[in-house]
Amino acid sequence: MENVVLEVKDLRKKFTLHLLEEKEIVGFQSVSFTLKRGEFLGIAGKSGSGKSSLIKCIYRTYLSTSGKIIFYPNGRNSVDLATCLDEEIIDLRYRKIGHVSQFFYAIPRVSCLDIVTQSLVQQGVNIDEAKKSAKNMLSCLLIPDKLFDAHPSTFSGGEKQRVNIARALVKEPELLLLDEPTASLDKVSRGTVLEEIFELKKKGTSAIGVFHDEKELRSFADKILVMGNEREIKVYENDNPR
Amino acid sequence: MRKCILRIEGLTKIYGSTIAVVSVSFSLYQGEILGVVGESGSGKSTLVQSLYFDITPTFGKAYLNEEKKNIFELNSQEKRKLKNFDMGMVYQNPYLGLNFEITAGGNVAEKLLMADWRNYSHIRNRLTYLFEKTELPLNRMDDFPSTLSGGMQQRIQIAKALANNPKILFLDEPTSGLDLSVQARFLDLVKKIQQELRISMILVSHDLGVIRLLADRVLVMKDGRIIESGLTDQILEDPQSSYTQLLVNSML
Ligand SMILES: Nc1ncnc2c1ncn2[C@@H]1O[C@H](COP(=O)(O)OP(=O)(O)OP(=O)(O)O)[C@@H](O)[C@H]1O
Ligand SMILES: [Mg+2]
Repeated sequence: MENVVLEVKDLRKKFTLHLLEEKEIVGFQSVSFTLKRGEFLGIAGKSGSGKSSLIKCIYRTYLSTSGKIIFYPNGRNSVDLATCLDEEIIDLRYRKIGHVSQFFYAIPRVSCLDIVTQSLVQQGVNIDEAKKSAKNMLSCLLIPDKLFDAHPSTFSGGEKQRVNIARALVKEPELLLLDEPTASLDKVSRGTVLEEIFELKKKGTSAIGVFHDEKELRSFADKILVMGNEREIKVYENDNPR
Repeated sequence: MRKCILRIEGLTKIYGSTIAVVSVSFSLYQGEILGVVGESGSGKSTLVQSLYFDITPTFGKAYLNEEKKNIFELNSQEKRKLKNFDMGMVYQNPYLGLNFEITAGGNVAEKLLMADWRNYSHIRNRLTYLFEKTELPLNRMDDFPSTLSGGMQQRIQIAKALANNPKILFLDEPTSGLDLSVQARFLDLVKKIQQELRISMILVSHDLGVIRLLADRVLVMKDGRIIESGLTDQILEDPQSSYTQLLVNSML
């Protein structure tokens, strides 16, 4: 088990809408898979099949209805992300797990450089060093210097998304969760983002990523999880990964 | 894991036939901002004021820094000491937090004097530091609170609260009387202070927007009880109880 990073077992998510006469909505049905260190899992499936819900359950933005999400962080005891204390999740988010959401919430009045710097400071890096790495990361993702002090609410969709990505990648997290990270990017910056993600793979990062684009999914994934109804859900090896 | 700074067990406050807070338990960790939301009358202020010893709870225990002593059982001198050295409070109403008979600087100095500061020039230096830290103009130090804007009054409350490097800061609806732009500036200040000084905070607000901006975790209160708690993004995106779903829905 030494090289296993994440084990998802019979995970399910259902929403109960109390305000709509207790209506129940299925997020996704039973999902199980194992992720090894340095492995990339791609998630495919129709719109509404539960791809984002799965990512959010792993990050604990959503509470799982049942099942387990066992995370084996380096140098620590394993923990079930579905049920562990909120405090523990906060600590893991700071130090071990990076997340790029499908939609970016820009913290008001915080500059783009500060957003990325803060991500490293939370990890325990000192501020000067954090700033240096943050600048570096933003440049790698083709954010021009003159935007560093500006606030992302004024940025284009693609620029916003690259700040969002920079914030997650700069930490070199052990586990990286990506929900359509490249959806609002042009071809050039898509390529750059994927290159940076693969740089992390070399350093041992494991990742789970949702990609709409079939070609991109195939170039990203070692394994592919297809979401859908109970019978459609399956995991298979990607025959020709990158 | 971060250190537990304050642990509350079964806190209850009964006023005659009204039960303001019922059996509330939670922990506050090092350096975090814990949000408390809920409609008015749900017991939020009673909760923080009990922790700041303004109100004596009917039942319950509270422990600081993983120590074994229930702080509600301390004698009044020991309580005063904790209050002066380890805690700070910003009240919704500046009239509760400030003495309007003395100057802005005097209000802050008072808290220093209570913590046994005696040397005049040391006090003056500390006041300057605190005014700068809370973005208060130094030339208003000798003015009376009534001549200052609402935003400045709240910043004096913060300066006073921070005077003795507390470990815990309580903020009870600190921005509810302020204009939006003043409110934003105040919230940015709170965030900056939390990042620089790593003080643990309990922030009470009925405004989920304020909570979203600042809090790592949230407790949702209704009728004196905690009905739900979780990470801030989880409470906002996947609220479990019907009350929290209503609260989140009406935010947008
Ligand atoms: N917070 C929520 N509350 C209630 N229902 C939700 C919530 N989030 C998702 N759902 C529902 O769960 C189902 C799965 O949604 P999800 O967003 O996970 O799909 P997706 O596969 O990511 O879709 P897309 O490809 O369009 O992004 C949908 O029916 C959706 O309406
Ligand atoms: Mg989605």
